[in-house]
Amino acid sequence: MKFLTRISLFLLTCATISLADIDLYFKNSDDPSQECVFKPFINKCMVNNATRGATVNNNGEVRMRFIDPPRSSAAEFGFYLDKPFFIIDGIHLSTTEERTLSKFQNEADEFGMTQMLKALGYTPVLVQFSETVRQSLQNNSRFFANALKYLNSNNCIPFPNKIQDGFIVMGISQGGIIGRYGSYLYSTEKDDRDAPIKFFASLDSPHQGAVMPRGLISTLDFWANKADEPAATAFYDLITGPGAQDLLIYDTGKGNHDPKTGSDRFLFGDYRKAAEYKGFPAVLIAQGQLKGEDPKHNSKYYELNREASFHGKTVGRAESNLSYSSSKTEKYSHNHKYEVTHNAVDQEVKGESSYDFVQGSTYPFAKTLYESLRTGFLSAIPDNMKQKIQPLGISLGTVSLSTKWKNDSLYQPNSTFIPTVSAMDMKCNGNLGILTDCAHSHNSNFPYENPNNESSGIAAYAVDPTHPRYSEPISGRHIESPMKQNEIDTIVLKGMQVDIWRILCELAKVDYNKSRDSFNNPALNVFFSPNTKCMDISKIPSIIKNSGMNQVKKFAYVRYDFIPKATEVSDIVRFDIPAGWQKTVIIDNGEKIPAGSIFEVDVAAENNRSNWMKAELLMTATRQGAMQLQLSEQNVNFNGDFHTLRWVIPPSLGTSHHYRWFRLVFNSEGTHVAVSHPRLITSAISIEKSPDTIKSPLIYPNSSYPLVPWNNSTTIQEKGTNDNQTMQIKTTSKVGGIHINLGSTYSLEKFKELKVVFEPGTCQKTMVYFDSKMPSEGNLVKYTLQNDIAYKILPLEKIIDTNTTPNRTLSASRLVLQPTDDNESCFIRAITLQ
Amino acid sequence: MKNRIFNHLAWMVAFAAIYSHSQTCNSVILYDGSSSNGAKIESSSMTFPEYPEWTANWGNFENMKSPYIRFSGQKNTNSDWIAAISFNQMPINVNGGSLKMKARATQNAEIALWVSGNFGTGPIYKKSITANQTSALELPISKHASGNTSIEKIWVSLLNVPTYQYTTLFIDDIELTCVNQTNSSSIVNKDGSSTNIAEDLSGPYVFLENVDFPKVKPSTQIYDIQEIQTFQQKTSNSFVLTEQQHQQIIEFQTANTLTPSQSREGWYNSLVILEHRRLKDGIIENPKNKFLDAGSIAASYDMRKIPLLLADLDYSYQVCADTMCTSINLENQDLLLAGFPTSYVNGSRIQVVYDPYFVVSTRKQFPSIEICVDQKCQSLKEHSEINLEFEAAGVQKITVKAKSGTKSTTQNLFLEVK
Repeated sequence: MKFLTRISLFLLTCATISLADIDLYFKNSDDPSQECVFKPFINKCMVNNATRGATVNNNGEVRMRFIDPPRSSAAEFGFYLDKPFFIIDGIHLSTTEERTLSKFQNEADEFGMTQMLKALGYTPVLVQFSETVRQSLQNNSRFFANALKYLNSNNCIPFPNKIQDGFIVMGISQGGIIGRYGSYLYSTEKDDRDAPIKFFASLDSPHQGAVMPRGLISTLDFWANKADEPAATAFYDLITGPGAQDLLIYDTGKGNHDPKTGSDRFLFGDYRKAAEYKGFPAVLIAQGQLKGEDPKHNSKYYELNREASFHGKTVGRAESNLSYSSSKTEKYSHNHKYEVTHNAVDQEVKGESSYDFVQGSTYPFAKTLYESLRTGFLSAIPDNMKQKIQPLGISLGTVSLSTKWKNDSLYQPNSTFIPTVSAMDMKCNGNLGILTDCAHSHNSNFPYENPNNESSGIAAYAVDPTHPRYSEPISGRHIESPMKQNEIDTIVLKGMQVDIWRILCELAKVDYNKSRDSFNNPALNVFFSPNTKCMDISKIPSIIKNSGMNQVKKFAYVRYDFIPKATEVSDIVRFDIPAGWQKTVIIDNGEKIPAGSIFEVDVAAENNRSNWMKAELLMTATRQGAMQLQLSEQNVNFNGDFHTLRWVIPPSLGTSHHYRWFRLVFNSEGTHVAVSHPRLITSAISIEKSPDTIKSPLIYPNSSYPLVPWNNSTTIQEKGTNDNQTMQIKTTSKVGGIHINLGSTYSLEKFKELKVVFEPGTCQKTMVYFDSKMPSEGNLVKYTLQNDIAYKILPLEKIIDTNTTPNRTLSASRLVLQPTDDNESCFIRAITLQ
Repeated sequence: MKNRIFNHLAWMVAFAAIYSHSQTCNSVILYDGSSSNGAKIESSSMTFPEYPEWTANWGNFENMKSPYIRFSGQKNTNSDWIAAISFNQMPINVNGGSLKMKARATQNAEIALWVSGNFGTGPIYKKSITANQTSALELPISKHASGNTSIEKIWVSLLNVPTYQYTTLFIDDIELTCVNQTNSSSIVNKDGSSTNIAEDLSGPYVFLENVDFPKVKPSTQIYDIQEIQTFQQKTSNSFVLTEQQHQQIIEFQTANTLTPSQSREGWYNSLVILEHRRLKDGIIENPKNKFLDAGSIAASYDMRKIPLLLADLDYSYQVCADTMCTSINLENQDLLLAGFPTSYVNGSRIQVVYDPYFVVSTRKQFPSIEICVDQKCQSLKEHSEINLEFEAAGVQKITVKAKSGTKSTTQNLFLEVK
């Protein structure tokens, strides 16, 4: 019987631990009856319209990944929408492979975005367009608007609180333009019964255009169209694709590539209707500095000149020089190609390129082009170049040609990409900032939180003196990854945290319900105050300050000895292992295992014959097990529940070791085991210092810790004194709740459990957790009754989300008691750490 | 294993029949354990004590291999346990035939089956099954169904389960024997080895026909009219390259080692060189679009299902007639070239697809292809896909053997497994 109970528990746990993200693709049609929504790999339309059941290829125009959405077995896709927060991917302005939702998710999670939003009660939805270059901004905006219409009303994905929740849209780079215009289209076409666009934010989006060096455009034009260099052809197709061309200030079409900012261009024409639309609040974040002057730079970007000769006679030459020009008479690019079998081609272009270094976030365009052309030149004129001699079809063999670089220097890798005034949609004297001197000269004195008519946003932020990246000599890279060779660049991460804080702080202001004196989204009550100044970075809560601190790598190769079918994509793998020391899982890290990283795996074990089990982790250099290093043995908890096993890779290994493979070994008397999510924490650092230990284990009653009701739907009454004291919490709405403020973030590491003592029959719809945990196990049902008093023991690891705490420690600043339904009563006698 | 192979043969038969526009009875496997097959349960009607496990593995039983569907639990009253389940392909049109499945229980039990759909609810089929023995169940559908009957749910019930008796029911290999499908656009061949593939790779690839990807313009033609006329007097080929460009293509084609990026870019670079150096327009479809389209498709499959790019055409290249290259001759070359639109794949089990849409060719026949990983080779026919399994993460070599007419090539491509 005990075993059966445990098995049930085991299965229940499996059901809750399995994080499932759901991908849906939207195939657009001008005719709504022909729209199609399908799961990738399944390729079958699931919309209740004429397309239902039809087979489609996998390429929907809009890809959406719903991150761990709330489940509903009654719904067609198995989930419903709850506070959806759309994050729209940017343009893929690169000749590398197309972006995938997984790549986008990995990048978003470098900043801890999806975990953070989940903890704040939102359902993150990653949005990606299948074509960001070949498709126009207008078309992708229309696809997005239609996808929102579908999500607003369909028979497959319920959206029960759609009027209150609405859609929150955040666009990154180009995603901000598509998101804003798509939201505008949706908003102006919907009616009052539809979900509103509740909030829009853009992150370094070019509302008034983006910049590439003018010389880069003419250089690509030359090498793609006059000199048939394939890499340049790929780049040229990128910058002339409608999705990119429409964003760029310099005209990438044929001609002299002058700035083109007339109202016949989308960004400066139709798009302005969306920018000036007041039907939803817009918050605009720039990642460029606002210092009042253009960044200092070298006047030359690079010089490349390679030639091949035979006995002193030049038989081939490739030359490219890219520079900055401050006047119409200066040269900004010169390119030349000569091959002995073809006429030489040459192009020198003059003109002003002052947008190249306007204030703004940057991108290493020149470096990218330099490296690409350099590779192309080396391929066309290799070091060991040979030439066949073959008169009249008779081979006389080959001759070796002499090859050399005459010039090969990179001087200025970076230039402006998104002008600061563009990302803020700043206006100067009523004119678009990019068309005025403001773009170059506006200093940091700007009313960021309330720009009024100086921006189309309700708030517009830049890298100002309070921002961690202000002191850098030139603005940082546009949407820069914080990961540099497996190390976190803390300045980049801190900068992004400030940008995200400003967005979420503004969102909280919009979400605040004055009549209820509370946030509509109850989870915001824990972290935000409606009066907080979003410029005040000292108010950034821990949940944001610790985001991105843990970089988690999933493995590309995992095999299970007892279940050969299972791989790295298997969520949970269950199997029986015989008694004794058993190798069970083999994992390839794909590269050298970083010293100091952390290996984690979730393991649940169940056995009716014994109650012990050990786990060991081996590191080896080869699959076969060469150079084995055994890490410390660990006990596996035997209650059928999942527990995380964790091994720190010895920092003393340094970089000179050869370990690449992991072997997970179990030792038991025969066990049924479940293994889930093996992973490597490649970087676990904390910007915050490790917190001090909490002063008292008694959380309640404790006069040092004030009780904070979230809104007027919640009342707290304290009755009795000392041993008889009771806190009576009554909530009329599930958006109510309270937290007990610990005053600061404290370490709870010396404790294992929280004991909650309450009056029997109450608190049965109340969740208990610290800070940001959205627990499935923080409820007070199935309590123990002792002397007419109920209590429940909650393991701290289940009610603290260590992904958002300093150094992944068990630490917290608030204890939350939150109802899961309307009309809850919860009478608390005591809450104690033990 | 035989059973799994049989299942997949059934798939192949089913889809082959679809491909030939057949209206005959096609068997379709709704669930075979190779994935959850989109299994869902209607919660409102469920009276089993616990939710099922869709890909349970409690070991292999006689005539039932794991994974399978597992229902279990116990109740404090004697009652019937009922569940209505559905799968990816449902609703599904049938034309008679029967519903087949395997079942076994940990107790002697009476099991009942019925289906519901646009015709209402069908008659109930009952069978007594012996504890711990696998039984074959077959519910005839022709008795109540005719014409365009759509089945939406399958109902499974254990009848009269005693109080407090913990009972487990396993079911597997759920099949409809006469499915009415005539859609010729859903052409799929399912390879027999796909039981090794990860769960979410199990869906069929849908081959591209009449797709409407946005397009990029063809590359600029390098030669002027005079040069073109000169070349056309010397060759009937449609492309003329420099010797160095020819060498670049051959180096890519014959390379033993490449970085994954070089491996990805090689096909594109080679075809773009050819397109730039064309003597007339319209000889081949714009290879840049094929490359970009293949990249989009691979990305839509999260880099786990990858189209193979192929080129099969002839060109000429210029050779100097003297050391100063004051005059040139033309040499002819057959080109049979493979490529992938990505430098990496997500995971160690992937699928490679041979979609004729991604063949740039001047010939009427498609090249025949064999793909080898770790010296294990598989034939990859056009309009089909194969599974590849890598034995480690990191950079992996894939050898592509191609044959077209009398020409055959062996080419090494590289992908990073990450």
